[in-house]
Amino acid sequence: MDDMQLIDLYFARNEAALSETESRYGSYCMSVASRILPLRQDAEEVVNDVYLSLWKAIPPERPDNFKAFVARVTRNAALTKLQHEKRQKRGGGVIPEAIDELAEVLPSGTDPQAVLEEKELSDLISRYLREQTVTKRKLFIQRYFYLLSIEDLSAESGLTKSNVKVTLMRMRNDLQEYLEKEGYKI
Amino acid sequence: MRKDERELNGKKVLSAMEHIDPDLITEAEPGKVPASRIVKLSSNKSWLYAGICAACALVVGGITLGVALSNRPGTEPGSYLASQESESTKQGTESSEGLLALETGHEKTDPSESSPFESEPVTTEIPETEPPVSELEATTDPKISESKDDESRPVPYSPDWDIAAEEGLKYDKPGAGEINAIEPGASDALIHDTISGHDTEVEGEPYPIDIEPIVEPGSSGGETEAPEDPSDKFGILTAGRWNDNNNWGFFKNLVTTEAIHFPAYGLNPVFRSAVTVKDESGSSVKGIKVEAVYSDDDSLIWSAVTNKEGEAYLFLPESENRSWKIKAYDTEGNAVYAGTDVYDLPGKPEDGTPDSQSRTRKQPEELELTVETASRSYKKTQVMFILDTTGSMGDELTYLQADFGKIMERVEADGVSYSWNFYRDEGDDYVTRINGFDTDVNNLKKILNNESADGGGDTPEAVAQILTETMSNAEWDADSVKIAFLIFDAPPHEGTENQITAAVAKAAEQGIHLIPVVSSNSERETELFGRALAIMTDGEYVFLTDDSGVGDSHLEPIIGDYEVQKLGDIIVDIINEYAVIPE
Repeated sequence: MDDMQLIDLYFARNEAALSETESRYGSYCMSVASRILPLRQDAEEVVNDVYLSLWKAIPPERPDNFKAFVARVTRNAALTKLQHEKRQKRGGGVIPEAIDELAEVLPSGTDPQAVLEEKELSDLISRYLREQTVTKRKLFIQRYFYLLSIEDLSAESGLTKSNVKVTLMRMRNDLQEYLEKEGYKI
Repeated sequence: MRKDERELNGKKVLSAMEHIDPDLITEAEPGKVPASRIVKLSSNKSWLYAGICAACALVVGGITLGVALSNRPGTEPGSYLASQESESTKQGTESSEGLLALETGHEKTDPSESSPFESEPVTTEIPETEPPVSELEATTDPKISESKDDESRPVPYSPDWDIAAEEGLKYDKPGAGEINAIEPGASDALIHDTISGHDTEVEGEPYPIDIEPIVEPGSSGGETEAPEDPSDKFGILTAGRWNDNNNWGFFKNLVTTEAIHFPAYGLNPVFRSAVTVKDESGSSVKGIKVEAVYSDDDSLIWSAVTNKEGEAYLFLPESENRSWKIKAYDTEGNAVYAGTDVYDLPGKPEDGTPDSQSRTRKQPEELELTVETASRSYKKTQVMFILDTTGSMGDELTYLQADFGKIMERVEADGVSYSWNFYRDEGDDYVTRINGFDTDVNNLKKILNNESADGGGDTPEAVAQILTETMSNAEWDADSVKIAFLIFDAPPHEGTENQITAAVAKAAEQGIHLIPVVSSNSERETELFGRALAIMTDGEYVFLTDDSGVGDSHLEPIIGDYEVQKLGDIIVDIINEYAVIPE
């Protein structure tokens, strides 16, 4: 059964869609959630909720890339859970770090013309990322979509932590210039 | 950028990442979740949680569907079921019943029976190597830490603490009420998501998670102990870093609310103008000199060098009746900008003079210049270490002697030379000990290892002297990125303010980034002195923390959130961030 057929099960309101999703993507969901929520119990709870969210979202959604859709739903749910729990560790964790790192990508938007719709921003980021090497692209997405820590990125890529940080810093600076050149006005 | 704007922008981009091309998302799929990333319950509380889980299972088993339906905010299974049941198809009815079973399956099933969504407790092998002490970002749970640490001093976290203690411990799935963890808003957002159209075949291989037997934790319970062998002491010292220039709104609030105050030993970084220099194409111009001069006689107020982002920070004195303007120079020293705009200095009263010619502009906090010149091409990096070697710095000296070789190994910049410089105080064996820049690791280690911590006595040390001598060092190269780490725990002597101000001005003029590293037993004035040094030279403030358990207590600085890291990592990161890195 491919993903299109799996989606058809959702449309048919066949519960087998859920067990099939859990079988195919359960571990994947856990992996995405575990990188955002360090406590396993929280990640498990979120993954359970993801299945229900998928059930409710499809239909009317018919995602072309089901795995990416699952990743987005899981990420969103994990971030919501994290916010709900209001964990306040010293240092804040990956999410506040990522927010702070990305702060400079968009200059301060006091000019109404500078306000980019999120979809437009997403498209620009996608275009920018497609112009990068695979290694750099993966680093950026693993940091800011999958929210991996610097340590995990280093282990994942084989680069040193310093190299990871410097590469990400440069990419953020490049992205900022890219957005400005694409007409994002300061 | 104000702190709230920074946070908003960061969240916006992070949120936008959700909607990037789905193919990019799947292409970048990461590998296995590292064992250290998955935190289990503390073994100390396993009995408690086991009991809670069992109790929950019994309670949930006794709770009826009506509780789940009535307690679910914004999502109405009942209404969904009703809409389903209103359909005449048998399939719809069966599906709704199925959904009903799904939503309430937790409480209906016997906890001892397996549910299609219940996975076996996953255990992971804890790596035998000592986990990084400072990697607290994803692993610290206050509850777990508290259960482990009976001492007043924080104990470095270790994932060994969090191994499920007993085999067969089952984590029952949360009850139906806890499905409410997803807020309705999130679900609505998902429903309205659209995905870029890409027909990508997804193989649907299950994503692997490492499942291996538990390794019993060590008897120490994961507490980190300082190793006996000095050569094993790399990475023991923990620290944090903070950049006030990048958190300027936050800094100004601290000053306005008098949480912190300046001047600190003559240094007052409060009145800052951030100047960004760009060329006509809009690209940042790096490595050129920007000056604030008095508008009446062109005499110099402050000189700085633009950084990688084309920014230079100018610091202004208070004056009731003088004004200032900007000048900029290319890498050869030729003037490329002579501003005609005149700005008030801080302290100029609002005189309400109607004559527009006598009025000047308010002091701008941010300015942008456009110049016709190229950036400086940096080929080398000079890293200076300036170390207080009085008696109280013994721990820091020992660990730096252990760390330095590995720091050099891990710096990725090209053409890096290092200089070790030391100071104590009047009446000690020496006041200052200056060395030149060198690239030979053995020479550098020899210089460092020949030092010991001794002397001192009173609190202040010869900070003014060492800054004067090092910032005027003839070996600083205009075409090098220049970084100077000042590692100390004591302030300068009173009465040396002019000397210090002159030394810091000299550093800024040459583009030397001062990185104060403040150690244990330091007082608030020393922290503020260090932060002023960093602000005024476009550096960064680093401070040791208690997390390593080494040395005396370290003062918690008045800053925002920060990450605890190994000092060695911070030093390497800072060098790599400022320096020239090969692609």
